[in-house]
Amino acid sequence: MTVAIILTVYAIALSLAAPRLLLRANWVDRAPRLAIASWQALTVAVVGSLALAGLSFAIPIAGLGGQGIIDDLQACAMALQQQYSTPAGAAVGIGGALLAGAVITRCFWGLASTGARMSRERNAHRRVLDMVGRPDFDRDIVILDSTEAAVYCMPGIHRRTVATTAALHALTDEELIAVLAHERAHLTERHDLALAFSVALSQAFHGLPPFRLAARETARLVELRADDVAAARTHRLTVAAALLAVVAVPPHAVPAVALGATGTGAAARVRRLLPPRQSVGRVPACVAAAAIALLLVAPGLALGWPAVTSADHALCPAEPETSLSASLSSSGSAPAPAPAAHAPCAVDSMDEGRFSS
Amino acid sequence: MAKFGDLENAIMNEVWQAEDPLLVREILDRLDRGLAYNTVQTVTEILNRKGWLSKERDGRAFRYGPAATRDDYVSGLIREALSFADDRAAALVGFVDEMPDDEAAELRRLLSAAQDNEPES
Repeated sequence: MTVAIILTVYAIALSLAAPRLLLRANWVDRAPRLAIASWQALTVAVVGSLALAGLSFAIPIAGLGGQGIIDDLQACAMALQQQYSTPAGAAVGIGGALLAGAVITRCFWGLASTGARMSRERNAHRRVLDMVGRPDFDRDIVILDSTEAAVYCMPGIHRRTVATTAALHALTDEELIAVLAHERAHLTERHDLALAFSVALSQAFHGLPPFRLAARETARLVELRADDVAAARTHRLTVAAALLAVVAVPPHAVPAVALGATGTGAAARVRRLLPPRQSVGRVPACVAAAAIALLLVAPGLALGWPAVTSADHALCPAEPETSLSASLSSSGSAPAPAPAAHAPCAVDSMDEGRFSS
Repeated sequence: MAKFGDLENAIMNEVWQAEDPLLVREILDRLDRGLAYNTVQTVTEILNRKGWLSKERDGRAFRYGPAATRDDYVSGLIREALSFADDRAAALVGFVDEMPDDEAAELRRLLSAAQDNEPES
C-alpha cells in the first residue's frame, strides 16, 4: 500500500515538475538528442509508475521475494484475502486494478492506432508520389515539378526524400548537401519513431500536459538534431542559408495566432545556427543521462525495495543474497525502454567529434 | 509488381499529356511498347477503379481521362508534407515550415552579417 502511494505521488510530482525543469533547462537546445531521450524517459516513467501503482493497489504483494515460489504464492493468497475481506480494502484494490488496466490499455490503444494511421497515410502518399514524382537515382531523391519550394522525407520501410524543382533551384550545391544530410538524419536516426511514440501517448492521454509538451518538444528537438547533423556535414551558416532558401513565406499575411505553434520554429532554428555552437560538456551530459536512467528505474526500485528489506525480517528466513538478486531482477522488469537508458554519455558528446580523437 | 507499377505510370503519363480523353487503342499506340491490347485495357480499367482515371462512353468503347491534373496531385502531396499540426502522426517530416516575411528578411540580414564575419563558410 505504501509503495502504491509512493508510486502515485512520484507519477504526479514527475508530471508536474519535470516538464517545467526541461522547458527551462539551458542545455536542451545544445544537446537535442539528450533532450529527446529525457522527454521520452519522462513520459515512460509517468506511465510506468502509474501502471505499477495501480497494480500494487490491486495486488498487495510488494515485499515478497526470495522465499520460493510456493511460499510466495501462499503469502500472496493470504495478503489478497486480507485486503479484499474489508469493503474499503476491496474498493482500493478494484480501483487500483482499474487504474492499471486503463493506463495499460490506453497506451497500447494509442500506439496501435497511431501506428496504423501513420502507415495508412504513408501508403496513400507513396502511391501518389510514385505516380507523379521523378526519381533522381544519383542523389537518391524524388523530384516533384512544382513552383512551391519544399523538401521533406517519408520515413519507414519505403523511405523517400522528396524535393520540388523550386527548392532545387533555390539551393546552392552546398546547401542541397546540407538539406539532404538533414533529411537523412531524420531517416537513419528514426526520428519518426520518437515522434510517433510521443504523439501516440499524447493522444492516448488526451493531451495531458506532460504528454502534450513531450510531443511538441520532440517535434521541435528532432529538427534541431537534424540541423546539427547537417551543420557537421557542411557548415552551420550553410544550414541557416538553406533554411532561409526553402522556407515557405506565406503568400498572405498569416495571423500571429496561427503562427504561434509552428511559425516560430523555423526562425528559432536559424537564430540558433547563427552564433558559433557551444556544445554541452561531458560532465553535464553524463549527469543528465544518469538522471534519465534514475527516472526510469525509480518506479521499479520502489516496488523492489520492500523485498530487499524484508530479507532481514525474522518472518523471512531466506539468505539475503538470493532475495536481493531476486528483487533486483524483478525491479529490472519495470518500465525499461532501452533507447533512453543505454550508453547515455555518448549521446550528444559524440557528434562533436571531440572525444573521438 | 514493379513492372505493373511502371505500366500504370506510363499510362497516366500519356493520359496527362493528351488534351482529350483517350481510347484504350490510342493509349496502346502512344505507349508504343508492343504490349497486348488486353494488358493495356486491364491496367487502364484498374486505374479507373483506383480513382486515377475517369471513364466516359464513346460509341461501343470507352474514353479515359485523368481524374485530376498532375499539378493537383503534386500540390496535394506538398500540402500533406507541410502540414505541421501537433496532432499529425509524423507520417512525413518536412525540412522547414513557414516564416513571416519580415522575420525572414531580418534573418537574411543577420545571416549575411555572420557570413561576413566568418568568410571561410
